[in-house]
Amino acid sequence: MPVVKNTNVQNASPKKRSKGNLPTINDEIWFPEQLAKVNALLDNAILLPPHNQKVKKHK
Amino acid sequence: MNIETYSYHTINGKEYWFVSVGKKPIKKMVQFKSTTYKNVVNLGFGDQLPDGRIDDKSVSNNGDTNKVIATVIQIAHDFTTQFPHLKIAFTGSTPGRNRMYNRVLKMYYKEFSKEFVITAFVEKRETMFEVDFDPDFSGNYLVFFVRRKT
Repeated sequence: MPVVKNTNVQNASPKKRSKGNLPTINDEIWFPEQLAKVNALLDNAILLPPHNQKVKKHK
Repeated sequence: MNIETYSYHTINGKEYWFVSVGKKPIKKMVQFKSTTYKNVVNLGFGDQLPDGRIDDKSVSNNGDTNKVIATVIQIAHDFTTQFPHLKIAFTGSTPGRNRMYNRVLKMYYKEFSKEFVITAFVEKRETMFEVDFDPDFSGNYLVFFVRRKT
């Protein structure tokens, strides 16, 4: 099994650390083209209904 | 999957990285990002280049494709353990990479489908439809989705 480490911001790259003490890395989009492609397809697609209605409980 | 995986790290449970140690060390980045569709997140995947830039089109030919893919799948498993209500969308940054994802899903469909609901987008008459993933389908899937079974 892989080792999962919950590293903190101090372990982020210098570029990320320089932005502040909080892990602002989460605000960045690393793969904008992939995200844009998926969003564009989702916006014009017909999706299956949720398989499990319990999903609504997490709203 | 009975394939060895790399150890990986996460900063906040939505962004992960690991180092592919094939012919040369390459930092691999995985990011889950919200889409415009509720409860659907995009899995972005690519390399971090030596200059710090992130590249999702490079073909590293590092000789460890199966181990890298197995690690990304393990990360998706980890992510959906934390967020079981979220559906993960992913698509290749190139047609070739999309075909590779399709091959991997076909190859390990029996194993994946025990834990994940797998669906995909197909285009019919210029409209995109989400359908159940069929390992025997010979056409092109444009986007894949996985969600943990509950």
